[in-house]
This record gives sequence, structure tokens and C-alpha cells, in this order.
Amino acid sequence: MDTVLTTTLTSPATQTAAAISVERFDDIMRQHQRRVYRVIYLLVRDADTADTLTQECFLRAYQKRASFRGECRIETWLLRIAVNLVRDHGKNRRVSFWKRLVGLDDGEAADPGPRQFPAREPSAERTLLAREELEAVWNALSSLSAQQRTIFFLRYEEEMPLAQIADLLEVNIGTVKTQLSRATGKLREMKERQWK
Amino acid sequence: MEIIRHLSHEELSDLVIQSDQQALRPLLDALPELARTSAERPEQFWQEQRVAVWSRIARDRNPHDRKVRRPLVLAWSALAAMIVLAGLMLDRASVAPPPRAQVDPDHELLLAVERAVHNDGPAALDPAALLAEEMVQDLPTAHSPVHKKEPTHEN
Repeated sequence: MDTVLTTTLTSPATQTAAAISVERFDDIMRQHQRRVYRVIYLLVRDADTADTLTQECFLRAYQKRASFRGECRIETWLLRIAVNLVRDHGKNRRVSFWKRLVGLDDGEAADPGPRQFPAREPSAERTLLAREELEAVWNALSSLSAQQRTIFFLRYEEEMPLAQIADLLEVNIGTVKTQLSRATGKLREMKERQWK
Repeated sequence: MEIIRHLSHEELSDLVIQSDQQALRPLLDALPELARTSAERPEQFWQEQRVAVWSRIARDRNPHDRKVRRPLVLAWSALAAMIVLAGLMLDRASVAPPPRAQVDPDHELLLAVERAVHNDGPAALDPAALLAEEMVQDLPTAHSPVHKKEPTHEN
């Protein structure tokens, strides 16, 4: 019993302290890269951008590993970095859009836009079908704010508990619920219009 | 009498979410699987991604090393520059000044006198200057080869 208690009480801190060491970083990457990639992909809707931002996320995590104090799970910490990167990416895209509009940018590095999928998936047909279905949901939620969409994806596509979403986005749970209710309301509205 | 309690904002959100979840149940249930399938990649992709991250980490390490070394390089460069500068200054000091051109003391004196005459003298010497001027004016009349024509009374 003692052993169990000790393990339960001490494991989060000791585990996290050891988990961010250089030696174990590759294991951390193996363990979390799929989910980090998926969350980023759901938010940016572009496979190449998701790949780049996932790499950036792990690079930042490696650089900032000393600042990880174990107040939250490694996964939450990594996803927080990922969500912040997506947010910055969105800002950069807006800046790039205005630059292109006023002619400051030659458009060479123009964003190819969503739905640019590399042809390297194992079951392309199945993946394509899934993406098409997701497209409808993404389009329905396109009028929502970035935060509302993020909360919706984390809750229903990643099945993340509301408390973890609040922790990840560093907002209170009430805000998460309010934003989520707006997102579901919007989707419901869209569905009902389709059925009519 | 029935007491009706007002719902808090959070409770209201909970109710809305529950109601929407029921209405959207089939779609919401399918979403996790759709998300997972749409983000599926072959094992090679994940391997390449890890390799890319490690190579970026390695690339990132080098600029860091350069950053650490930069102050040392700067210090050495500054020291080298100071040594070169000091060497140049010493070299200049050791070189003998170029010989001055031979001057004629009489000529120098003449020039000094000329300068003194042309420059404005002190006010106290004004009468002397006037006297000198008058004397100079008188001189050409005495020594001039062209003689003043004396007025004639021919007419």
C-alpha cells in the first residue's frame, strides 16, 4: 500500500523531471508526435504546414525543456506550445495576406491554402473520404473565432476533457464552456439548415 | 411557493452544450475517428519527422556555440587592432621630422616688417603711421622721374 501511495504521489514530479532529459527526448517525440501533428493539422488544415509546425513544436520543447516544471502533463505542455505556434502562424498568414495585397510581397512564398495533401499516406482513399467529411465540419465552423474552433476540435475530435482544454489554453473552464456552446450552436444551426 | 433559481452562465452553457451534443450526436461521435484517419501517416513519415527535428536541434546548437564564442572573438579582434594601432603610432614617432627648407634670415625679416606695416597697428601708433604715410607720399614727388608740369602762364 505504501509503495502504491508513494508511487502515486511522487511519480508526476519525478517522471516529468526525468522525461524532459536530452536522452529521453526521442522517446517523448515518438510518444506524442502523432497527437501533436493531428491537433496542428486539424487547426491549420494543411498537411505540410502541420508537419513544419510539429517540427517547430518539438524544437521549441527541446529548447525550453529546462523551463518545464511538471505543473501539467508533458502532453498538455507540448499541445500548448503547438496551439501557440498555430496562433502565431495564423497571425503571420494575415500579415502575409496584407503584404501580398499591398504588393510588399511578391507572393513566391504564398500560402498554398488548405487541402494540400502529400501523396504519401498508406490508405489514400480512406483518408481522402475522412478529409472530405471533415471539410464539411471545418466549413461550417469557419465563421467562428480561432479560439472557438480550437476548443471544438480539442473537445470533439481529440476528446479532451474541458479542464485539460482550459489548462492548455490557459483560460478558465467557464470560458471554455461558453466558447464550446457557441461552436456547437453554430454547427447545429448549419445541420438543421441542411436537413430542411 | 416554488423558488426558481437562476442558472449561472456556466450552468446555462452546460445545458446548451448537452442539448447540442444530443442533436449532433452521430456527427460528434464520428469526429474522433475522422480526425485520426485524416491525420494518418506512414511510419516513414514519423521517422523522417524525428530526424528532421534532431537535425534542426543540431543546427540550432551551432549558432549557440557561435554566440558563446562571439565575445571572445570580438575581444581578440579589439586587442589585435589596438596592437596594430600602437605599432603604427610608435613607428610614426620614431621617424625623424623632414628637414625644413633653408630660409634666408634677411628675407624673413623683410617679410615680417612688411606684415607689420600692412597690419593694423595699435591705436597709440596711429600718429606715427600717419607721419609715415605722409613721408611715403612725399617721397615719389621728390624721386619720381616724371616731373610735375609747372603751370605755365603762356595763355
